[in-house]
This record gives sequence, structure tokens and C-alpha cells, in this order.
Amino acid sequence: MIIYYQEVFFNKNTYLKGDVLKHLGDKDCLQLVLEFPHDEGKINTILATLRRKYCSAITFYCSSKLKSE
Amino acid sequence: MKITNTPEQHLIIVDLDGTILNNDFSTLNQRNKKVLQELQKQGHKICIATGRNYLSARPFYQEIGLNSFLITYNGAYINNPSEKNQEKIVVNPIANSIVRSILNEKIIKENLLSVLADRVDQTTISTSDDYLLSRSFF
Repeated sequence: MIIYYQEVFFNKNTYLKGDVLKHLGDKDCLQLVLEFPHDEGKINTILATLRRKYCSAITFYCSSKLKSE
Repeated sequence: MKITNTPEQHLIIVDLDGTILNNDFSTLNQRNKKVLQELQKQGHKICIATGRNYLSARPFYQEIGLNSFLITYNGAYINNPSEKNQEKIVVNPIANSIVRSILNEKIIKENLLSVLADRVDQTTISTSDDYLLSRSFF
């Protein structure tokens, strides 16, 4: 099934485009979605880093939903 | 589905995508809408719980005509949009310093394809729209 996650995340709402850290300024985030290439080794390293350093600060999910077909 | 009146009032929590929306992920299934409206009329509390951001989820809440809580950002933001002051029940953001630290991790910086961030003021930031549009969801 092809659907665009533009619908899910934006639902036709406007959004800022560009440097995330610049636009973020000093504001906190309600959600952060990061996308990586489908490389199991690297993704495991990224997940291990997140678990080791940020498990007390964030809740995170890993999904393959966004990868291209 | 047959809806029968019961003396008990229940809290019924439903997701949006893959649940009460159609397969286009942008329109509400009209049958589900009617069922939820009928259940609310009977006195049950209907809540939407979704990983969507607030602005993306609110139109469906309003289309059904709900009057209970709306749970968005996977639970990081919960409020009641039907109330005049839209009382916030839960706001549990990721601290700015944590976001910056994560995005500056070497392994993340080196492999990152795209980022989407929702600020506490409900503004969404995306590194690329072209990339988002060219990807499939399942």
C-alpha cells in the first residue's frame, strides 16, 4: 500500500522547512522523527546509543514503516 | 455492529490511522463516525489516541463532534479541544537540550536521511518535503 506520510504528519497543515535546529530555537519538542537508511548494523548502533544515553529522557520507537519499497 | 444501550458508561479509546480512518489515511470512515457519535450520545466517553501531531488529529475529533480528551504525539500532549480554554491535561516534551544532543550524536549525524520535529508551540519542522512525498508507508 502506497500512502504518503505527508498525510499523517501534516494533514495539509503548513510546516517550516529547513534546518531543524535553527527553527527549533530554544523550544522543546513534542515529537522527533528521525529517518535512516535501511542498514541493520547502523540502526542497531543508533538504537544502542539512544538506549544508553537517553533512555531516561525520551521514549522511542523504531519502525521500518517509512522505508522505501 | 449492533449498538445496545447499557447502564454503564465506558471510556472508549481509538486510534486514527489503520483504525477509524479510511485506507487513504486522510478521511474518516463514515460508519465508524456514526458508531462513535451514537456511543457518545449514550453517555460513553470517546477518546482518540494517536502518534499524529495535534493539528493533524484535531479535524477528525471535530468531525465526529467529540467532547472528551484528545491524546496526540504518542501521549506527550493531551488536551480537551472541545473546552473553550482547550485545557491541557498533559504536556510532556523532550527538552531542547536533549533534542540538540541527539541530533548532534556522531552516528546519527552521519546516517540521518530526514528529520521531522514538532515544537511545543505545535509548529512542525521538516528537513525535506520532497523526500517525505516520495516514500511509502507500508
